[in-house]
Amino acid sequence: MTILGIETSCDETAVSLLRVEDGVFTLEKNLVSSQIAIHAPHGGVVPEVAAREHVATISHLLKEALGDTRPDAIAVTGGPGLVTSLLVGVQAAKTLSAAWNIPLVRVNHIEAHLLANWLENPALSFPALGLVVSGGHTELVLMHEPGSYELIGRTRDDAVGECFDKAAKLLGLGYPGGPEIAKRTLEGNPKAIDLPRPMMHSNDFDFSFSGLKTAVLYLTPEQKQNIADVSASFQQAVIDVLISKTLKAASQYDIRSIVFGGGVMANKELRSQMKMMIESKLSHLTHQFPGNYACTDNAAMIAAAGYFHMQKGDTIDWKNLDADPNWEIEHVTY
Amino acid sequence: MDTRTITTTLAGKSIPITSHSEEETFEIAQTVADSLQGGDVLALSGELGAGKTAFVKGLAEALGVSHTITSPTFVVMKVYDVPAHETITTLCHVDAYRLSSGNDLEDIGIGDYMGAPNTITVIEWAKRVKDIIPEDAIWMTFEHTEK
Repeated sequence: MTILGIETSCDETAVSLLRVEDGVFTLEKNLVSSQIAIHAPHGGVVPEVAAREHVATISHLLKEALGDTRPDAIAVTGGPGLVTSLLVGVQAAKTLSAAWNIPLVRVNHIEAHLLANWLENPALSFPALGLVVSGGHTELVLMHEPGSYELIGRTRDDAVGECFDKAAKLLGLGYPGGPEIAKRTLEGNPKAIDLPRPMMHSNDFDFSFSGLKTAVLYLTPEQKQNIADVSASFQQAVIDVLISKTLKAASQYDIRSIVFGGGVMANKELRSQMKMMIESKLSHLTHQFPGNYACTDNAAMIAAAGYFHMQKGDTIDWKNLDADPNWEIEHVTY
Repeated sequence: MDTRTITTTLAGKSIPITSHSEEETFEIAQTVADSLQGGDVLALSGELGAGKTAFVKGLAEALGVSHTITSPTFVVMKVYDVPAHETITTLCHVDAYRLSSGNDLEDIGIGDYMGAPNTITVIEWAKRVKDIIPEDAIWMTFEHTEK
């Protein structure tokens, strides 16, 4: 079976073609057109500009990905995301489904970030614990099986990626904040400045990052001068919280694997410390990081999630497909 | 000490209120919530970390919203049910941080909420979309004040 994946939930226009035969995934096409450069001067995604760029780009990507291939099914992101962006992908998917009379699958963006790990390792077992960390999300998800999810922890204020963006802005660095801060940590001392680890020892799996942003705001001008030390200390505060909550959840629930997703997972230091801690403390569990291409938004993950939906016959008539900007993963069932 | 001044403009008069902590900001939000009526629009302005989202969290709690208020920066607008209030059924929380004009907000569907009879609309970074903020909106300016 060949699945066409379409993703336009934020600022990446992405189209993929995934072939699945006997449970083996072959990613035939994976095209992403990023708008980061377009939005950088604004310090973040401008919704109206994003929608216009999606419209201008999507037909080209579809043509390039498909060539003469007619897929067996279409999977598209239905939410969460920016409604004006989501609608571009949703309209394209509806049109193709109607024109070709092929099944359509509505995929949740967060679910897809986690299921993308099965592209790397199809043998990963459920139940799994998933951590999604990006510009819009900070969520710990208990994945019983595809289509059965429990949101066990989430941010109570800002998302991790948003916290990186805002801290970078306060330090006079560019956008997106994650890579900008990571670049400056190399020469810095992560213990130089004592920054808070909000909610690290709370009795639940929720996160809070707004206070960390405020702590950066209140650093003295002398402290702020040493950008490398501030960046390294800030990044370490984030890493400590993410590792602590993930390990706590992994020990408390009966799971077999831990999977990760979202743009913040591209942070090398976070990956290496997370890997080290899981291997030393929870060595009985398998863990999987997404491929580098799959951390940020892409359509390979949408097609992969689409495959799991198809396995359970979860398709939707194109007439009933709509975008839901606040679609929570807990409400995904199939 | 983390001190903030919230200045409210009502009927052309500026009324400064000082908060020394997140708890105090919450209390101020509760007082404001008590006087709100369906259809009211709160236009907030102030820099990063000035306490705008903390204020909205307090406001939501006072109105009886059970859902956790999280930053709307990513999706621009979040809408919450107000289940048990006499006249208010909906809280619409907007972050205009990345918008350049009111048009952007209209594209996202603000027209369905702003000024609707049972809805309270709170807009952070409101100056960026001031072209569509109603004249009778309550403006609040947040500043952090070094002590």
